[in-house]
Amino acid sequence: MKATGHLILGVSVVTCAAMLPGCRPGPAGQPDQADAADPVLVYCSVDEPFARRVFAEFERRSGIRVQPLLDTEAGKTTGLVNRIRREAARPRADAFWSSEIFNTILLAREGLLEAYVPGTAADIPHAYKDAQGLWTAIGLRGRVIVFDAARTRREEVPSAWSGLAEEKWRGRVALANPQFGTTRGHVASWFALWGPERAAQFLRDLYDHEAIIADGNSAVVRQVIAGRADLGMTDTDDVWLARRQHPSLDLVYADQGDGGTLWIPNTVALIKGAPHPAEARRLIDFLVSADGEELLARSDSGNVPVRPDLRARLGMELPAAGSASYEQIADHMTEAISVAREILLR
Amino acid sequence: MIARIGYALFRWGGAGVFVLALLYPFAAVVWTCLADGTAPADGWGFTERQLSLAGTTLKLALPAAGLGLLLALPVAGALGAGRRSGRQCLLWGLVVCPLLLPPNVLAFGWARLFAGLGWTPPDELLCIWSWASWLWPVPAALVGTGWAAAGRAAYESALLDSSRWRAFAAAALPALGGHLLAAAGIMLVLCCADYNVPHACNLQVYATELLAWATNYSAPVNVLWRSVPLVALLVLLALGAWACWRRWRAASSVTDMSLSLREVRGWPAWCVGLLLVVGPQIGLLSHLESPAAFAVLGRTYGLEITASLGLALAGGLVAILTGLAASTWSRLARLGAVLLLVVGFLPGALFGKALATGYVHCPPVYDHWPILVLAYVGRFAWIGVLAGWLTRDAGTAELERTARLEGAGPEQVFWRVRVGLHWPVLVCAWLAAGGLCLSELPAASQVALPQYGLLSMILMEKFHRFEEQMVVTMSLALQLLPLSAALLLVGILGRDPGKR
Repeated sequence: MKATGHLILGVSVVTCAAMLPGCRPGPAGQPDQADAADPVLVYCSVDEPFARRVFAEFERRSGIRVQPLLDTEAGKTTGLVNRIRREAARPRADAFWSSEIFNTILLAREGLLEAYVPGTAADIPHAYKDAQGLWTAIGLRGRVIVFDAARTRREEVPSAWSGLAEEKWRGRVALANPQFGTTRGHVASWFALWGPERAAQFLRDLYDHEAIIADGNSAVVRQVIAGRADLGMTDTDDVWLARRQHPSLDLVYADQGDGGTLWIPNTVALIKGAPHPAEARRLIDFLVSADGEELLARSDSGNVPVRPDLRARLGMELPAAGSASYEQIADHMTEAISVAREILLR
Repeated sequence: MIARIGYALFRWGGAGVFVLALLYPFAAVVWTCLADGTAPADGWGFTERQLSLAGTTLKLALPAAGLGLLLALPVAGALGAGRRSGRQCLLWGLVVCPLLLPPNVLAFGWARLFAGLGWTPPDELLCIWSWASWLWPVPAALVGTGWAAAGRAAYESALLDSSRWRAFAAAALPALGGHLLAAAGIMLVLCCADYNVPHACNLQVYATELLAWATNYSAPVNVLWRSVPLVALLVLLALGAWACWRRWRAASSVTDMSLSLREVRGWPAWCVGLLLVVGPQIGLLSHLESPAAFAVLGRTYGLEITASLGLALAGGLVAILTGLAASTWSRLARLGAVLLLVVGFLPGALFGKALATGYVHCPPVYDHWPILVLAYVGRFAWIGVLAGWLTRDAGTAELERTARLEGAGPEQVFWRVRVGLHWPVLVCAWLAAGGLCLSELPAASQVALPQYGLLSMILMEKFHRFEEQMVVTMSLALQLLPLSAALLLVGILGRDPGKR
């Protein structure tokens, strides 16, 4: 069995040799010295096929290689956010392209983002830019009520979120786990708009009326498709994607209680201590540009541009937005999640 | 000389990987929890919801294990009855196949097959059926082995003075009790720790919730503490299965699987086996709009497919070698091998969190492929341990003793007898571990690397995005390679059975 011995020895040597290129630690607490040929590393929670197309376009235009670390439906944006936190002493990522805004605001407050005001964002309204330049927002997704028009008539669907807690929908409403994803921000928005008492009462009503807690927004849509729920709280893009297979799905832009819908934008930010800041800035310039936002609007997600002129050019409408600012909603995040956990996940 | 150096390297290398993949990450995660001093986000108690999810997990896993046992019986009977022949090798190949397939892919396949037949099963039923159709080979192999070793002889003796059913109930069943319980225990453990199938069936179980906790909370105490009920359950089940197995081994002195007293009808075994392997493929193929979809898949995800396969094969190989090395350790150090078994039953989310916490300040591991390989090793080295123990106890003890009496060193006995004579078992174990690595998601998602897009994650993303053709082609592609490897193995095994 000499051959077997040789084989094992060979495998061990090759394994060790293959690991050697990885042994290039930087000084403790500092980022590694970046190589000019290194790709710019983006933590990205935007849908993978679309992100790929955008990065390919950027690479074609700039000649800078992009290496995305995409989230999974299991991990969602929060998974990447926690990774940025974990790596704070030695950041690996250069930029963060999030499919939502609230986690980005929290990262900014924790001092994990670097200020950068992209020149290409000059035409973006101020509501969608951080005052210190820590993030820039583009492409909006709405929080909506999804239903199957083959089973539920549009007139029956509540026009406001508060209607979901009515007795007639007992056991027929699905929402994603409120600790994660955009549902987290949505719950916080009720605390910001309605005050903690009314928001908590609404959550209690949902619990008492046996609301179904699903694994994520796309799982909410699946609950509606399967007929386990009649109404679901989800994002517009999840409905657009599901409609490709289930055309009878429809949605309602539900009223937050102030006459508007909660619209959640994508956000782009530079990571503090990024190993490749110059390349990352060029990527951010591209992502938040009108061209980048147009790509996002034309994608399967159908994000609504924040730029009014672009909306007009693409013929997209933005139903009225709610009155609470993103910063106000982020202020209520911790309290809202804690209360939602106690009530809905007890 | 080379054999001796290779043996030493192999054993010490195994010990090194054991420390890197298991001891250090868990020490780091416990240390971090103590240093943080923080409590879990929702306190130290367990909520009604968490207990209810644990209950749901058991409610799904128990019938899946029962159904798996039932499905396995015809194949087990045929496996335990026949001589070692080309047809028998093919049957073994059929048994190995489902274990090589990603379990979520089986769920996708069955869902589409049933839909094609005009029936949409409830999610729970689909989950139970998918688990059973994934894990039936475990009881088939264990019970088949037991049937050949003891059950059949007891049954034949009892047949002399009683009817078939009475003989089976009074003699064969008690002789097979240990095998049945051990098989049920292993299936329960695998079902309870599985994330893929419930997720693919739109169900929430404890493992799905745990991954959400691991991903969404920075402090590792959240996932560590929340893992306790699942880990306790899994360890109990694993210990039960282990005790059953030991009891059987002590009671049975016959280990020759080539006994052939009377031919058992093979066709039910073939029908059941083929249906369970081919069914999901038919379901997926019936939803394939055009073979050109494979070209699109190759163009879009060629790199990811290559990287996933390479990492799965590498991870599976290192996992098997580590487990095999652990099985050669001395009596005291066997505790390490038992630890590998126990850790293999830990929820993947906890394991991934431990690795991420342990290696975040160690760039050579954290930033590169070794962290993914360590994740695979921790999760699947138990297969190597079992394979190692199987090669040790596979009826060649006498040969080993003779070799030692004639002056052979432990390294020569190891290479020539354990590896040399049982390499098909080890290759099977490698393929099975590789197949599981390919579909591993909870641990890999915690330590994902931008350089290596993993198919297991992309497939789930496609599922969530309702990209039907991608789900179908990716599922078929994920099965094509393990099935080809299994067929190749069967070909090698069946070529000249007389030699083994």
